[in-house]
Amino acid sequence: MPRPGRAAAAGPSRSTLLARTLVALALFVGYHLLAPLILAALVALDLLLLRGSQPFALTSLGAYAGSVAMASSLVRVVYLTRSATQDPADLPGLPLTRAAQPELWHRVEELARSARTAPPAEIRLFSDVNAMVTEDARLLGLRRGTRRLYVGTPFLLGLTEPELDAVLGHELGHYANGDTRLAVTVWAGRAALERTVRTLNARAAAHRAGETAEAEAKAARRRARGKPEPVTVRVSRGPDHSLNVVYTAYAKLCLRCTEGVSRRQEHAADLVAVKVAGRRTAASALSRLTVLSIATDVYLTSYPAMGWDSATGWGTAFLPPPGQFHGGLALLLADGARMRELEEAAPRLPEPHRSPYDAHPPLAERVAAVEALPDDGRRAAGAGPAIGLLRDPHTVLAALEEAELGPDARTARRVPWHELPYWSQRAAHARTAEPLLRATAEAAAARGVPLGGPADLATLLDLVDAGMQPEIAALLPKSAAAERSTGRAAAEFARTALRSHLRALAVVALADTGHIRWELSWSGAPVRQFAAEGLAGALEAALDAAIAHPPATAPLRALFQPAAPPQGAVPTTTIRRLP
Amino acid sequence: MNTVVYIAGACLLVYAAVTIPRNAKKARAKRAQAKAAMPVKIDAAAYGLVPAAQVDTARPGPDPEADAAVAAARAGDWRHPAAYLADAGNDWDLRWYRVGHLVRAAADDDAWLTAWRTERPGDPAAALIHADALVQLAGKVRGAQGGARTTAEQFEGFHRLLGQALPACQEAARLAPYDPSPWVAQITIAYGLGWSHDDFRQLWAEITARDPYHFGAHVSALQYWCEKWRGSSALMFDFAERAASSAPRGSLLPVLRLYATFEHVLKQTDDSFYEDPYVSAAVDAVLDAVDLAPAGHHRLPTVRHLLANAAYRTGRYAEAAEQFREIGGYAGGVPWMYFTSPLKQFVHVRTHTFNEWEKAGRPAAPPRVAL
Repeated sequence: MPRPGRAAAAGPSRSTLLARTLVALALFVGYHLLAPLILAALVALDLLLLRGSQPFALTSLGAYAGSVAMASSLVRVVYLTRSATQDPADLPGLPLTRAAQPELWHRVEELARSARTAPPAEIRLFSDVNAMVTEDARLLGLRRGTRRLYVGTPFLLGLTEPELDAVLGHELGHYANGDTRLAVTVWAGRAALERTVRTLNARAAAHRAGETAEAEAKAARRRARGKPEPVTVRVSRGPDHSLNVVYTAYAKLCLRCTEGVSRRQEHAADLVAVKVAGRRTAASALSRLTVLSIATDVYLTSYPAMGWDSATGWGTAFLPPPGQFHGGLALLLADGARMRELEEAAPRLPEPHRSPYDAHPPLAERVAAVEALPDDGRRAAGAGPAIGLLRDPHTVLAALEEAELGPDARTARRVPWHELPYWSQRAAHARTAEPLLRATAEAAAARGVPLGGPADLATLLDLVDAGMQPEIAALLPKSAAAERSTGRAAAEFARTALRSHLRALAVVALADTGHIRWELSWSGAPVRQFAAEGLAGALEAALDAAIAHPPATAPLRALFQPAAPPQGAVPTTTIRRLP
Repeated sequence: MNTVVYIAGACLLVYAAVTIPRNAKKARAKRAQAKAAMPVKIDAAAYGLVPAAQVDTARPGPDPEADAAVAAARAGDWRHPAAYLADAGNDWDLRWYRVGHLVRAAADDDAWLTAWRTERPGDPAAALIHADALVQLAGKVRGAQGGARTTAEQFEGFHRLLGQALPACQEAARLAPYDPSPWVAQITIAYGLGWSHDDFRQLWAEITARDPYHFGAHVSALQYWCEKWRGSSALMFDFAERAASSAPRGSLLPVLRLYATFEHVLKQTDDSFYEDPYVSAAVDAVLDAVDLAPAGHHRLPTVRHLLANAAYRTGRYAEAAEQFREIGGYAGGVPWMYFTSPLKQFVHVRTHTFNEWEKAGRPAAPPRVAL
């Protein structure tokens, strides 16, 4: 049972709270006045200049242009982006309809009832490590709009059903706690302010990035013409930056003034979570969030996208089976060694995804506050993962995957998890080797040597034996440093390039003949490479011989001779490929 | 309407309060920058100096003999360079100095060297040039940037070539057991591949056993003991001090102190270390050494560049001016080579030296009491 008295005793008294809430309200009303005020100031400035002594001086014209730029940027960010996010097509995730998921809806409605608030009108599934309830604020949040509940797949896969209840109870609790209606307004207004600051930040950063790129391009053009680089590289900041400064300052002011209120609201929402799910379940749900969040980060950076290359897009990509792009997280969470590793690492890491504008107190503090409540006698129920609430979860996850990855992902090849490392590693090496095969074909064509079929390692080695190594190396793509070099240094750069491409080509051939294999591991490095003992050293030595002057291809050819698969092989290297 | 005007006025005031100080600060910084960048001009001819436009940044001083040998090598003739090298005789540092010239040619194009090695297999001089050219080539492939601005490709080529250079050096050493040069060439490999201090001391023992006061070896070893390679400021000064103080009278090794000082100040935020009495004593010692060295000594120009810079930094403008006069129209030496534009740096220091010397009333350099 929640104890409002206890919470109040921990926080400020009721009357000061009311005063603070009113201050907060004033600040959020101020936020809505900020944009008109800036616009008015700009108009006033222009009028002042127009009526001044030199209305058409160069500086005045500049000021008019600047004020128009600033005003248009302001209107776009503050008034136009708001309507954009309300476009239902732009909402993140996948809607879960009542007809398709009656159990989930039933559960949520039950939770809303015990939290004493209205149930959401829409439930959406998305892939963030998050769950949230949003409400389109109308009339500064005084009137209720559409309420939406978002549930992240990591929560469904990583929390038990009662733990999910606690998390959802917390989110619903934001709209239900016994506070005044004004507090709800404050909470809703925060979202608008946060969104504005975020948009302005992004726009200012994009502007800056563009300007920097332009300055660099200019410097590069000057270098190309043999002129010295410009002494001062001035990057102008654009109207978004100034607006960003104003809004960020205002947001900081608001957050500072409302910190107490926000913290109390979070605590009150935690109390709702305790009420619907029990003290132990709520505490265990909260304390699992950090590990779950890190696990999801590890999973997403190293596993499902290992076969995807940003340079080539989806064309040659490999993905896990449908529904497994997000669903595979369950496999990582089921790995005991990985979870022990993460649980040990978690306390040392800063809490992930914490923005400076986040109202939540640190998780550890919240867990402690919940655990300090008197025992309510409810046990932490050890039910299965919350994904059990979904009907036909595989289809749902496959649909979510399609919605999030976009239609292009359909062209990717789906392979089982245990084959994914092989296909992605082979594809990555083949991509690296590709220019070498092209260079081989070109060099052969230039000499008029007929190739019986497409160029491969064997034909390349034959050409190297025929003394065509320098010609082939010269046709490989060159780095900037290689372009600048001359004489022997240029030849050495070509040799380095040839070696690294040849290495990739040899690895592909070794993989095809079963000398090298890659295995998936849910703990430690995601991909482990297995090869016969001594193969790695022999490969490096053979590559050195192949690029030497004069070249020797025999050691490299010898590597492929006994095509015995590596039995009882030892892992020689581990590869960590991050997208 | 009044309220709007008030609000607008208030906004303007806030805007002005933010922008005016910022713009003023920017303008101040810009003026200071412009002032610092403004060239101070002197009339080079009036002081008997070579005008900036005619200064040669490729070498520290004139050496027509070396130029002729290098030109012959570039033209594909190996006999002339071989004779030039053999002419150095048992002056190991002179031999190493000449190797340096020939190696620069061999690192660009080794056709002449290949011809030499084919016609005279087992020639120790050819083996030495071949080995040191690989070291030079490794440095060229790596580039002169710091580690963060060097690509993986550059490092790969660097390490591969140094890996080839080591056996080549060992072969050259086998062919010429008394020549320290193949060992001196390994110093660069040592700092490039990060040899341990013990391994390096072993290498150093091989060198000093063959020539204890080898100038080129000491300059190269100083790099090993630098903070940026494998040592530290303390180890570098320690090495420089031991070498400078144990060198016989007339040796140019005391300049190591100035080289170490320059390397040390590069890592500092200001030049205040030059005020240390250590530096001024070191400048005195080098002035003595330069006076004692025979005219036309092959290392004199190298020493003068460091000496001129140190004398200027320690406020001894008369001595600095004297060195700049001796240097003439060459800027291809340390410390200038450490800067993006060696010519600019050289001319900058030279100009300020003569300006200050003029301001001080053109004093003559005080006589060297040590002589």
